[in-house]
Amino acid sequence: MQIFTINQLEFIFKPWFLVFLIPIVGALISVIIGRVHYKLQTAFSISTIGLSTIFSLFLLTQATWEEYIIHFFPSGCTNGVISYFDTSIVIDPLGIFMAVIASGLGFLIAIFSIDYMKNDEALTRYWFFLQLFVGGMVLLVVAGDLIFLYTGWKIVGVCSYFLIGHYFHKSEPQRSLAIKSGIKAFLMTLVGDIALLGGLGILWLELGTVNIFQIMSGFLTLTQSLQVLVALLIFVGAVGKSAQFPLITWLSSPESIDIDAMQGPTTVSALIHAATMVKAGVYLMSRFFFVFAIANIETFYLVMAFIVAITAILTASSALVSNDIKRVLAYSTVSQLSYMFLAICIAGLSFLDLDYDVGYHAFLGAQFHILSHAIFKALLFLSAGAIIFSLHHERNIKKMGGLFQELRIIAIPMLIGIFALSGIPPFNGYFSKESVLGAAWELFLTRGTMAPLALLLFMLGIVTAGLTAAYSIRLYILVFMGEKPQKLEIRKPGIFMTSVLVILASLTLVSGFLARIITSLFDQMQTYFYIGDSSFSHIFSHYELVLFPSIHTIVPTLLTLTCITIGALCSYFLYRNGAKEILFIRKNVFLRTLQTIAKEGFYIDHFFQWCQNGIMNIFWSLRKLQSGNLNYNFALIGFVSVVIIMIFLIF
Amino acid sequence: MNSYLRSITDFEIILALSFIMLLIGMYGLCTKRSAIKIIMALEILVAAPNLAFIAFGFTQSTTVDPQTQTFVIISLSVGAAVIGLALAFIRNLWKHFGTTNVDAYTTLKG
Repeated sequence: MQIFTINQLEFIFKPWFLVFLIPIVGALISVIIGRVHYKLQTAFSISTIGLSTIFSLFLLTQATWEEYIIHFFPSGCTNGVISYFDTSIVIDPLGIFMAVIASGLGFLIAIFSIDYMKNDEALTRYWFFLQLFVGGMVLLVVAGDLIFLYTGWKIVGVCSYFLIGHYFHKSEPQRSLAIKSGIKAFLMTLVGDIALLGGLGILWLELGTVNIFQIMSGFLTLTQSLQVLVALLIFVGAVGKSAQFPLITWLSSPESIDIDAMQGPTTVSALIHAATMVKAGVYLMSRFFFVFAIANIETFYLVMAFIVAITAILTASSALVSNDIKRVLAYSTVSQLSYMFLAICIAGLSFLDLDYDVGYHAFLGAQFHILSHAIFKALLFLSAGAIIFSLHHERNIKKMGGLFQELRIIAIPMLIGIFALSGIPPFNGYFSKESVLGAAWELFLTRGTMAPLALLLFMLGIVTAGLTAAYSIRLYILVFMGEKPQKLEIRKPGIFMTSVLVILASLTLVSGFLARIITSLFDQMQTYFYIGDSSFSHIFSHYELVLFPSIHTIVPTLLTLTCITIGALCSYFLYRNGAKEILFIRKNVFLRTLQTIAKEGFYIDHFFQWCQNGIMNIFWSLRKLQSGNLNYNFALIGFVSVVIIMIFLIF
Repeated sequence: MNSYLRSITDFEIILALSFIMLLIGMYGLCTKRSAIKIIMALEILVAAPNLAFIAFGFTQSTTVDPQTQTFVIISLSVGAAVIGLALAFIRNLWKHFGTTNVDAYTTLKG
């Protein structure tokens, strides 16, 4: 145990830590300021998130791929007991890039909330958890060790729980839905969290360190089965947080159950359940990609491909038939998250085939899709929030229609978001989707052992792209086109709302052309592979994410665009004349059954409820064992303990 | 072979006695209705392992292990405190239900 001297204590505080300390400490202070005046509290909270944004933008200019670590404890006392708590942050493009997205979008969404949450009764709670969320998310992505990583991971989970249940003070139907939704989200992500804790714990036990770089350099010394186990456990954590296949339903459940993360305020859905927190899983897989990819763990990437493939198709088809504006967007979020996992999966498969450049391309595609999806999904959710605000909390798209004339200031930004989500060329969604699918196609062209799987994933990707175009166009037409229902009161959205929508829409237009900046950020990525495997000698050639199809990628681009066009046109011709329901689907029994199955979320949530009821029944029958007769209970206890002792003696 | 016990059979007798006390305690717990009698049965049940513990302290060939006796004395003193607590509970139960018959105490029935 080392003893601090005053000289060392002076260096414990490091300015780099301010990037997450400002929002977390600000959250505590804002509660006190709320006692003075609520407007002062709002201004203070927005300014702390804004400061964090400026700080992370500054760090983005400093970020390098050269193990730029800032230890929390001074270097003199990192042996002995302290070495178990060797907390640090790492300034590299992978993490700081996510930090910029989290705090920047947090800042814009906080400005949007000025109007949206104007008449809320629990503003103090809202601002406290919003700031804590931004702090926790930044902490999670800049963490250089497992302790900070897991702390941030849990902070964002807790903030998500409290903000989903934000409306628990309302009157009855909303109250119990909010409470149940919060608990459901917390418990279902907890499944992943426990698995993640197991994976990180195994790493710590085997390698004896919490530092991520030391773990990277020691990972290849583990046995093959242990590597697969750790990778799968960490992936289960990512599945829980990012709502992939078995755990989809905490983010978006079918309309008949209606217990999901969309019960929170729409600003929260935009920030936490679309733009940032659910991407923590993707970030985690990217962070550990540097060791998983060179460890040759084939099983892991096959499992990942399977789960991602299921999720992408299921959720895209559920989004096609849902009627709640937020639910369509939530299903679409899950589907797009699968796209990012798909990219990382393709990157891993390419590394198995030793096609390092293709892997690098796919990895870049994943990072680029994180950025563009964060922007356009935040835009879509905020537009949905503005619509819900204008229509006095009406969320059913079947009851909307013909809003284009009166809500033009929402309709035009939302159209840009819809085009970006569909992947229509000049918007950012096209470029990022294109780079993911292009990487899959390249892996197919290399004719390695993974080529058939790559082709399968590519087909799946373009089918999902087609479905995405179909449901996003359907959403837009049902909301803004057609005839306006008679008794629809409309209030105008506030100035803060519309200005944020315009800013996000212009970012959606611009950020597609930022690909050059992202590629230059990730240029020196191979140094991280050297840490894991010193014999790794590949140098990635500078990769330009293609903005417009070159000869190399003309085939996948054309295939993708064809699918998108088919999807968009189908949806346009079916819904353009103001039809709320398609007649031939209602008449055909088979199609109608398919529609019902998709609408019920493929009965995943029903299955969970069935399991829950079964377990509850077992324990309700077990409680009959407590009969109230003391002598009988004593006899039972004696008998059971004798049986247990016998079992121990025999075995 | 053992300077304190004449033969190994004495040790076995004490263990058997301890086992019989255990059975008596269990029997009392399972059959008696009065709360006071249940406490008495419980005390017999607790005395049985104490006895066995002391007996094991004499199995070493040269010395008596003083630790076993120390533990048993601690166990007895804690047991006395537990009895005091249990009797206080029974007095309160008697005030509440008007009887010490445990069949009447069914408020926590599942």
